[in-house]
Amino acid sequence: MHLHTHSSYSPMQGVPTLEKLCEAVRAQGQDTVALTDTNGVYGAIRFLDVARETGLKPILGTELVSRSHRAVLLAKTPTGYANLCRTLSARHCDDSFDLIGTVARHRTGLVILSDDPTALTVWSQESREDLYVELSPGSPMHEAIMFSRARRLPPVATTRALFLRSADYQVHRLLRAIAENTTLARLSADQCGVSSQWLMPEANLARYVPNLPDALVNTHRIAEQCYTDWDFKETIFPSFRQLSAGAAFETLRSKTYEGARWRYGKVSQDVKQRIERELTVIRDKGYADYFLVVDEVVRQAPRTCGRGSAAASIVSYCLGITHVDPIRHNLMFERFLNPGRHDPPDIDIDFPWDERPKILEWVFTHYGQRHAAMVANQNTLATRAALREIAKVYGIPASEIGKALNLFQRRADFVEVMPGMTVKSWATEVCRALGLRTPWPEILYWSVHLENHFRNLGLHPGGVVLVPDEIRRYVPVEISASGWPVIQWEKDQTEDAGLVKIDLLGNRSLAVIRDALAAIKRNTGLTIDYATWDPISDPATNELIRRGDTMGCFYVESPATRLLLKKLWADMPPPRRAVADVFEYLVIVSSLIRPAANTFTEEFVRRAHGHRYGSPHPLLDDVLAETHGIMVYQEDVMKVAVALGGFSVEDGDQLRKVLSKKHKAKQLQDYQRQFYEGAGARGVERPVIDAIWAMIMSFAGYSFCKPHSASYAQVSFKSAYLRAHYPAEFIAAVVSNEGGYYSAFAYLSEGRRMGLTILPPDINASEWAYTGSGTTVRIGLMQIKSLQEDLAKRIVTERQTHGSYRSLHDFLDRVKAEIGQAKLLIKAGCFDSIAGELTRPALMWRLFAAHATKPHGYLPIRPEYSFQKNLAHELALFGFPLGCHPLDLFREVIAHIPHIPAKDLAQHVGKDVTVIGWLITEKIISTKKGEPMEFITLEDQTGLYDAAVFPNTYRRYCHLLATNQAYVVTGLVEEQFSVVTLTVKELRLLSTCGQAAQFDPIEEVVV
Amino acid sequence: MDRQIVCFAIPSFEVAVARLNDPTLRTRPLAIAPLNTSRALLREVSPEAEDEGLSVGMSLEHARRVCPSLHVLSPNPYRVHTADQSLLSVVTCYAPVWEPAQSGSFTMDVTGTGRLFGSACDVAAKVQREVLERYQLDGVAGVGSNKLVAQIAATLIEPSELYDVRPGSEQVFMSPLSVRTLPGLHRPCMRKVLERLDDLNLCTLGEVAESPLAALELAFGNYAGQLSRWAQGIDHLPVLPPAIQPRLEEAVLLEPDEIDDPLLKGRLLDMLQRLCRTLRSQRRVCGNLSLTIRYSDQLEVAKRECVRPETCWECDLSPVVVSLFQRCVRRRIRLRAMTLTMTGLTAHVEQVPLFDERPVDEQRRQDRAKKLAVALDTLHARFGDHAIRYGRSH
Repeated sequence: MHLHTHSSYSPMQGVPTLEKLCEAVRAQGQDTVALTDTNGVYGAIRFLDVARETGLKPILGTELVSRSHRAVLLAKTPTGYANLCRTLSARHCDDSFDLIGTVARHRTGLVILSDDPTALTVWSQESREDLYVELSPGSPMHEAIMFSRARRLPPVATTRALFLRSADYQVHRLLRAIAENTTLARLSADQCGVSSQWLMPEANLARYVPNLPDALVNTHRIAEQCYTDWDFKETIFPSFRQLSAGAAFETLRSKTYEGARWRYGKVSQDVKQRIERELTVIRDKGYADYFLVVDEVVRQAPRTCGRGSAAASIVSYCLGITHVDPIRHNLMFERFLNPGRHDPPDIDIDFPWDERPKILEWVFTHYGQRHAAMVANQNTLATRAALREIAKVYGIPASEIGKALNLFQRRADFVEVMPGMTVKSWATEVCRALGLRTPWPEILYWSVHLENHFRNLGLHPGGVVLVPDEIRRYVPVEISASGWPVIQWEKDQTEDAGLVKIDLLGNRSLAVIRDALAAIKRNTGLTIDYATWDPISDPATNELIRRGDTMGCFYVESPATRLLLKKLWADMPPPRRAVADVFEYLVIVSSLIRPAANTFTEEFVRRAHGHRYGSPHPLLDDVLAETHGIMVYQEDVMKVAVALGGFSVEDGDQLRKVLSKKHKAKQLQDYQRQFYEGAGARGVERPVIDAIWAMIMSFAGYSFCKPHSASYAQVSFKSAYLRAHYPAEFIAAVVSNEGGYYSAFAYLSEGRRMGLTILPPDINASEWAYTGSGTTVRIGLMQIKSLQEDLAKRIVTERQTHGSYRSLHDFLDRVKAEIGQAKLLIKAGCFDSIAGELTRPALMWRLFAAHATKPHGYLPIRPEYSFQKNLAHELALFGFPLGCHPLDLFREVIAHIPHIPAKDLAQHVGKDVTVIGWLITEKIISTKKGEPMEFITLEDQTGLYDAAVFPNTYRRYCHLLATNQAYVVTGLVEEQFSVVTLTVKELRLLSTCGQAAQFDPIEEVVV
Repeated sequence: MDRQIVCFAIPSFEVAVARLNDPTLRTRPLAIAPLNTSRALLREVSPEAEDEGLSVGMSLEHARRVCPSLHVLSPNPYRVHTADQSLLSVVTCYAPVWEPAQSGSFTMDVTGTGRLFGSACDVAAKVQREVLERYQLDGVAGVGSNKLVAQIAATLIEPSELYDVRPGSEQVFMSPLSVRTLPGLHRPCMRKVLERLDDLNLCTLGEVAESPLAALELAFGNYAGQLSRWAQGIDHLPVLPPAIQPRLEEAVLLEPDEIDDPLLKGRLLDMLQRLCRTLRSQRRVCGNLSLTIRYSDQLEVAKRECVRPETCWECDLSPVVVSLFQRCVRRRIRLRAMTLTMTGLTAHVEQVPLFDERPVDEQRRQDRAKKLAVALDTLHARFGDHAIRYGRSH
């Protein structure tokens, strides 16, 4: 019986996945298996499912390892599991962790296996019960046997399996080299396991302990003693100030009505009925504490946005957790909570990204680390990360890795997998096709083996678990790099284990709105109250959204959304346009833009324009009427499953939920069968069922429910209002908060198109962040690369306290900046306004003189830097040229290329044209056939335009595509719904005088 | 007495030598690059290839795309060595002291030879003419009052031309040249100097020369003096004949780039063995050992260690080499090249200590190692470097 096995959840040690491990154990004829991942139970909940599906009884355990001691702990009882979690938490959280002492304190319900003589001696003095000497091939077995005999402690044989076959040892070594940040040659023996740590069958293991039959018999005895009927179904709610259930509910009721009067003024009958209906469900499900806790958290910040299905609740709305009126926008509470729903829905709240740490701090201070912990993100080696890390082990420099990864991302799909091809030959073939030399084929080959391997714990963007008693009895807790306690499970396992989480997430757009509102107050004295501000009826904002001028606006700024908005409104017949609600359509549009739903968008626009359409099936006529017969929201999955597939509401909701999970193949298969059978029984024809199931599958991975989109659309409207009425303050806030869909350069370009003037940084005018007022935006010191934030803030504080700087000398006297930092400021032109007759090189000389130890005489005044040199400085410091458009650098070359400006594209519909463009953003997608293609957004000095590079063209030009490069683009101008796009036929990288542009791509944009 | 220095060089020497051997190559774009490696860089290019947009240092792969008609030859060290010797036979007729700069390039100190051969300018012209007549190699010649000026002058002209910088006009000559013309500024260790020159907008040597030394010192510290002197065309370094060259160097270019420590150490010890053999043949000992490594991403790291007492034996120097390797190789990046340099070279003193304080075992071990080294020297001299090599036992 295998009592000591490691899966890929032993971080950077164990090789096999849970599925492969369980299959291998089952193939050896075993009926029980213990999973003992190193210092954790990272995959425990998934292991229980997988083991049971494979027909194995699961034992939960761990291999506890500290610097000087080790032991395998197996949970014999549920109490033992709680003690296991406590011990592991101590291992990760206590600086002075003592393995021997901690295990001794928490050994109730645990079976202990170890070959550590010191530890065994101490533990055996207290009790010999459930204590075994572990004998494994590859470890000092002779000493262990001698010890076992001397102390008369029973032996037990284990494999300490880190991999399934001895051939996998190389994969293990590679994992260790990645973890240890070293190379294979430098990996020392104590940094990795030994080659005998494979999952050897019992017969093989018996050969290592020929004279100790007990060692194998004991494995069976222990397996029989250990608990295997694990059940984590009970939901564990947080507790609000330790109130009783009744008291908590009464508190919630009174707070809700108080909030209703604040929201509605007078509580109408409709509102009252809705509140009562919701409160009844909340009381029955025991959710009152949860609402009160979230309410308390939300009150810590003045600007929040409730996301997810909780926005469908009037109770949330009245408490101020969400800000969208569910009655006005027809949002169904049942999507959030219904009597039949078994799993606990969570409430997600967005806070301005820079305020979130304070909120978390408040939660942990208020509830204490005994009750609260963050949910983890289990970081795995995704394809790119696996390639990158293995390449590092092979000593490939970062720049070469970057180039190769770019090639893999863009072109690896082009190498077809032929029948009979091995992974090795495939890797060789791919590398040959991409021109990648040794050792890349080897790197690619190993990356396939390491893909999705659990690497380390990260923090979920905002998930917090609160329990009424002690969190460490449910799951081990670690301390994250940022100092927060974090549980060992990611959100799916957390939820499956019955723990309810609250998502406290960071949102940059809330910070954009906050900063813009503050700037407006500063510049104009006007105060806009965030809570009561309703931009939905503002005509200018509605018009801006209809035009798709939403760059910088939360949630609706991507090229795809902007294009869809333009298509939707540009050609909408006037009678429809007159009655169509911009907000309602924005809610639909923002839900419709998801990776798998591209095919439905154009049909949606046609239907929105009044084109007649046939419903896929009459049973769906009513269900999808609101969205013109197209499935848009997550709840549509539930509705369609119920109406067509004969699902119960609970099953429909489960199907909706399973679609968004990672490990869903098996469950999805069951639901598919159920759907096909149900629809078939209702007389629906097979092709129709196929089509509808395909629509359901388009919700996999990334989709939204209506309440969520409505809640977000409200923030979008607020952003759009600011863009329409206060463009300078808005653009400054967008760039300052970073992290939008586009680069800082692209936003500033958009600002210029909006009529704003971009001013350079100035030592007496710039703040750390960008500042906007009237028609100007001043670049903030934050844009100067490598300038330290604390220095920049010191500069601003000193200026505000003691007045403007009068000269470089005055600045150096007052701020004491390091020479390197002061150089950055000089090159960025920050001193130009106070330099007088001194040029930037002359300022440099005076800077060196100020830092010299001996007195100096005459200092020359060198002429100003050349235009080219200034440009190079701007590119290095800001990431983009300041005084001109990047395409101006190619003016001479462009003059010889016949082309049209981007603003004239609409005049050439149906014709082939050539345009010049600076690539702003790109999105690579796969066609239905799995061929890669790309949507790109470019701009010239006259405007922004979108283009599509379809697979055949993409194959030829993909190696040329990268953001922040100049291109000559030739293609066909096409118009659809009055929106003009370009279908690329030819693409050329624009160069100066026959040479490629001499600077690196200017900012990395995450696509 | 004013010094008279001549720098004579054959531009693109390997190309020129190759064309001598195969006249059909004379009119077509030609480049020299190693052909046994996939990531070779061009070592030399012909003027025709330059016209097609090729330059030294460009990757062979890229060069072939830019110029499909390019003819590429692999370096031929034997042929180059023979041609070098031929040039030398002319140079030594005129110069009492000469220093090889690189293949096909010599710096000659002809100070005081006026009565024998005429002025330095005449000597340069004679060497140029003689080399052309005897070997059909068309050279350039720079004449000046020091090595720096003569060498820079030789780089500014076309074959058959001669650039004579008259004494006293060095500063005028240097003034319009870019600061990047100065030797050594392209080295990684000089990056900071280049950066500061750029900060101060000092683009030409004239601009440097005009700047007060005290002001330069603020930016360049101790290096300011040499920078200022060089910018004015002042260089006191003597022309050094090879016999008293103060250093011995062995370099290895790894193909492909390598990160396997045992293999790299093996290559280093091979290099050490060759250097020690040269030392022993010159009856010299080494007092300093330095290792320079270049990573795949072109970053260079150099470390140096003193060797006391000075020695010429591998058994004494191997631990130093291993220690240098460990100090140099700290990053997890493959190595592209390694250079082992011996400096502090002095004559070998035969006298051994009268009372050797080393333990007897140690003495025996070292004696055995030395005997083995001498035996290996003999074998290598007779059968070549690869006839017998050190291995490693596990």
